[in-house]
Amino acid sequence: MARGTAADGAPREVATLRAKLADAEARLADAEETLRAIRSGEVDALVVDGPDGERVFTLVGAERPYRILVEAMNEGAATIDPSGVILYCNARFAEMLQRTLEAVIGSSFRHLVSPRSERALDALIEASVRSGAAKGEVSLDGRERGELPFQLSLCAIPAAPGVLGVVATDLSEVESLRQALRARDDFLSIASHELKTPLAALMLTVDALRRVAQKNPGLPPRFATSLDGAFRQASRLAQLVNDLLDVSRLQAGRVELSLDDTDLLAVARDVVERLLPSSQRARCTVEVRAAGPVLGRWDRDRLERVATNLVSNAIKYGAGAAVVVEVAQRENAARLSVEDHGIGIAPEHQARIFERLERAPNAREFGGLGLGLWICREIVTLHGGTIQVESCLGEGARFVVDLPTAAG
Amino acid sequence: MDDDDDLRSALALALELDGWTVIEARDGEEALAVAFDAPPTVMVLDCRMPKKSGQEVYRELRSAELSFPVLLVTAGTDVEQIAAELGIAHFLGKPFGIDELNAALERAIEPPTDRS
Repeated sequence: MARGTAADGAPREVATLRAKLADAEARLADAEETLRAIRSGEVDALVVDGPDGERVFTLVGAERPYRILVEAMNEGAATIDPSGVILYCNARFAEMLQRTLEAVIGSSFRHLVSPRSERALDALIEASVRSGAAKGEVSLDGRERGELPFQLSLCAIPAAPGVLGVVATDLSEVESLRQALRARDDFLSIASHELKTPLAALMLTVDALRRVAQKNPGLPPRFATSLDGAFRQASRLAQLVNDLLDVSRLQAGRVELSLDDTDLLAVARDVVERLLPSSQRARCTVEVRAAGPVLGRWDRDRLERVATNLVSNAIKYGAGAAVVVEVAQRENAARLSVEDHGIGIAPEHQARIFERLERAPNAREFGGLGLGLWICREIVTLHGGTIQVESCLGEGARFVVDLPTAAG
Repeated sequence: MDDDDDLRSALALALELDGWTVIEARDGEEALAVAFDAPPTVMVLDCRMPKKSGQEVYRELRSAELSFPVLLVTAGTDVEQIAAELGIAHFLGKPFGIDELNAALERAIEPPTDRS
């Protein structure tokens, strides 16, 4: 059978295939363009040629799940035009503001914000028109509910030029939680402050009496030891008050470092000397190792807190074994490490012990608030440093603080 | 100088045990009267006092060119800030024991060193 040849010399079948391919490519491009138009919202309906003639498919069906989603949201949702007129809102939005849907749709968003938030709303609308999205807090008029704090998230909707989408989140609960936290922090701060003066009088008096007792061998021995005990308890109380106060200040971001030329070795030595009575009672030695002074710009008092907490913990949980405090100069940094050979911390609890009010389970019988290591971490972080722990359960722990020599 | 009777008395006891002669004042005005009458070697000054605050007392002392050392004590959390505003180098946060008090007093009365 003779085979036909096309004008360009190719077999006819090839030419037919090419034509089919070109047709398929054109239809594919057409379909892709249609999909793109649907996705970008340029298409409201599709007219499809079927065996029963032309049929119109609207895209309402496609929109429906999103409508249901928007209506089921716990947040308010609305669309507005750039002048602030509300084009649509979900039932939740109207309900939050104690209004009917009819009263809200078609009205101006400006009528819903309290006078002091009008400028904030204008700024949000302007920012979202300019850059596509904006977020901010305003207070809305909730009628009987009074002025309500809301977060508004605005975004431009590309499918509907000139229309902005608004998601409104009621912050009333968040705000009341914030207020409760502020009240708690204020209370801690005031209570700690009020405790300090009587505590100072108590500490000084007991301290003075125990010194008198130490110089009077005629007094019963129990007298002097009891006064030593009273002084220790008063000091412990002072430490707890300071911890509570530090927590409220650190939590509120109200701690400013007072940086000065500081020798970390001198800090470590002072702390170890001050804790000598505690280490003697625990029958453990605390050795300070260093090649020489380690200088940096730090807040001396706060580093003393860090060293005191770490060395006290090492004595407390160290099971009477030797504690080693090491201070070393590293490149542009300084390292303070405190190592004990006591109860240790299981790996799964090591990250948690730096959190507030958290304590390793095996430490709970020792007493304490669980604030010390959190305070240490916050102070070290404020200095731009890090604190880590290396430990195995039952084999002791080594806490390592690395500080940049120029903090902040 | 402290308006809390117990604390003032405890401070006096602690200092007298260490050999200091202590003159007490219970408010800002008394503190100034004592200082003008016989300038002390060092003044332990509480921030929060009736009639005149510790800060006011300090400013008046300095404007009268009385330059004896002052150790500022307070139960407040802003002791460093107050000390920095007044230019006082030595301060102590309540509560404290005798060792801390003595160390702070020693620092306050020792001649200033060059802290370049």
